Amino acid sequence: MPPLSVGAGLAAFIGAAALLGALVDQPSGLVAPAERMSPLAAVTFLAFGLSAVAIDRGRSRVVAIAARAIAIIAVLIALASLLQTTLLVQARGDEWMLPATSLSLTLLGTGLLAVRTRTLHRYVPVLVAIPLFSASLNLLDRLFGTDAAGILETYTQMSAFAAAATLVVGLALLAAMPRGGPFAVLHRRGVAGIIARRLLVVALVIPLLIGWLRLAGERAGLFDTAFGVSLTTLTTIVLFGGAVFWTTSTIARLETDRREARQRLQALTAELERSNRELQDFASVASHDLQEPLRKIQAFSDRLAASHAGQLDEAGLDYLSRMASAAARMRVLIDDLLDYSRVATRAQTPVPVELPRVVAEVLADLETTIQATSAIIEVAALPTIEAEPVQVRQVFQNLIGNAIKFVAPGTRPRIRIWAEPAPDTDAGSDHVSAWTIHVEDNGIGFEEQYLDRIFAPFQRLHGRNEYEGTGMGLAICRRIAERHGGTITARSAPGAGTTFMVTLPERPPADITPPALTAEEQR
Amino acid sequence: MSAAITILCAEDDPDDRLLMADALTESRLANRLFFVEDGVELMAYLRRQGRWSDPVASPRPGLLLLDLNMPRKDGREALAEIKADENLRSIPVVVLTTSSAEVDIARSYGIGANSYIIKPVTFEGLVQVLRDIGRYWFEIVELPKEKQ
Repeated sequence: MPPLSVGAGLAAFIGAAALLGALVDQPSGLVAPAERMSPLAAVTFLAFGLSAVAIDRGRSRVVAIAARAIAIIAVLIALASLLQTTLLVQARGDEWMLPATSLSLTLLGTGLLAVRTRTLHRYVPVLVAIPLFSASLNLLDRLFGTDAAGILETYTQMSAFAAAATLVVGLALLAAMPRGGPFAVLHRRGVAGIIARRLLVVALVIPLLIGWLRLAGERAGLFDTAFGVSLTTLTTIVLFGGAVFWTTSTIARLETDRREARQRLQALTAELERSNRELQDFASVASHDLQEPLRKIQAFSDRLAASHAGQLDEAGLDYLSRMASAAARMRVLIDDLLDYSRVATRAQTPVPVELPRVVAEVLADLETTIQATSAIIEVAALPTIEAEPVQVRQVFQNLIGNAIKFVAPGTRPRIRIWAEPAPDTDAGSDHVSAWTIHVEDNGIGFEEQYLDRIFAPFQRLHGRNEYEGTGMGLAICRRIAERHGGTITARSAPGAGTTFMVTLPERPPADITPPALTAEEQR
Repeated sequence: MSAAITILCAEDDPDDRLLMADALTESRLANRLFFVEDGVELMAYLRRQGRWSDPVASPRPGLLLLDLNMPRKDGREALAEIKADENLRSIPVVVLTTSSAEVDIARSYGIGANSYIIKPVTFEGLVQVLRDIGRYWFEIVELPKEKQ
């Protein structure tokens, strides 16, 4: 239940009871008339209660405004009462409140107005400090049968009801602060919460007990004030020292647990890295060994076609050429598979990569194809990001290569490459944390229902005879993008060209290796 | 002059040996080609041991084509031995291998290989490489007078 409603509701109840008692003007059997709240204070608490419940539960703007208005009025009443007593304006009997009550109500009311605002809520602890202090001292005095004197008297003298109501509202305001305010730790599950709750009990009960025992002892004549002080001090030291040791032993156990967990994690990570390296080596060797028989198939079918062409008919030569091209395709596929597997297992350190330079290098690599197709490629300003340079280059190689390849026959490829900051979740921040690079072409396009398919390994949308390729290029791009903590997607329509959008963060996510144990933790 | 020069090829794969022999024929080089199958046989040939002790049947090569990956003793080890041997180190060694690894290239030259060639993928390519090797090593380059 929202603490504000609970606290204010209780206070309102107390206020209403006091008001009822005053109206009926019956000497209540429970509490002497002098102890009841002044009617004005009762009304103010009532108003606070209504306002708080309305602020918490109100759904419509009208209710919210009304709630605030009531609270403001209540605060003004309290303020007026305060000014009245401090400026010694002629009072009209005892209808106005005691100074301590009016001060408390003013501050509490201001806190009530501030607690649900965006920036002022942080002043609530300051505002409730004095009311809580006065009310607590008042109640403690009653408990111990002591009396405040002098200036403290003025600020602690209030009716028991008023003190109780102030205490309840003050605590409710603290608890109603965003994220639970200072009491947040009490609600936590886990060790912090357990320790906080137990120590809170200790912190409340023990001093009360010690104080009461000391007073009782002094009054019974067992010892004088001075000795009472040393007895109190000793008891406090022992009990709180015990609490310290108990708490720290629990925390020490936690630290040991955490360190062990860290060590296990490090061992696991090292094992994972070793396994990755093994896999990587295996993939390299396997791919090399797989290439060798294919090379032979190609070579010998070449030989056959070259040296025995006379003895083969057209069909025979056709079979040979299909054999050779199948072997060639498989060689490319093995290379692509190796690339795909390398993306995740080969970890280079990310370095700042100048994208304009990468694109220039890729275009130089594709020079022959660009010349052959008379492709036009426009590159706008591109940023520098931190990434693995070889992989970024692969992405551009694939995307630009595709843009040139997948055009309608006879069409001149037109490609535009530009970048813009990616929409950021941290609105209002000047710092760009991710970039989206667009590669737009005037090619054959595709239906967006196939969007997921094209990024899957081995998936193609066209037959081998239309466009060559293994179906791995975009799968490799996606894996690289994801490894950098980014994404890749595309927009397209058949016949209307395609735009690929690669989003990459300025800095790739941190390594999976957990940081080494600090010197502290190793002890 | 160049016809007299013997080429010794160390290659473990029988298919590659066949292709090499065919390519040499295609290339119209007049040199004789001898084969050994691994590093052990290579060293035995060069040192005139075992079945290669007859200098007429197993002439000293004027050029060595060396594959790196061979069983028993690979090309890297053999290369090191050859370049460490006073008698043998003057024979030009052309590493002819499928490996494109940077580390292999660097180490081969480091040990003293004279050239490093990555085996062409096509047969035509191989023929052309042999022609080029022939032209370079036997026509352009001066080789030391062969000891026997």
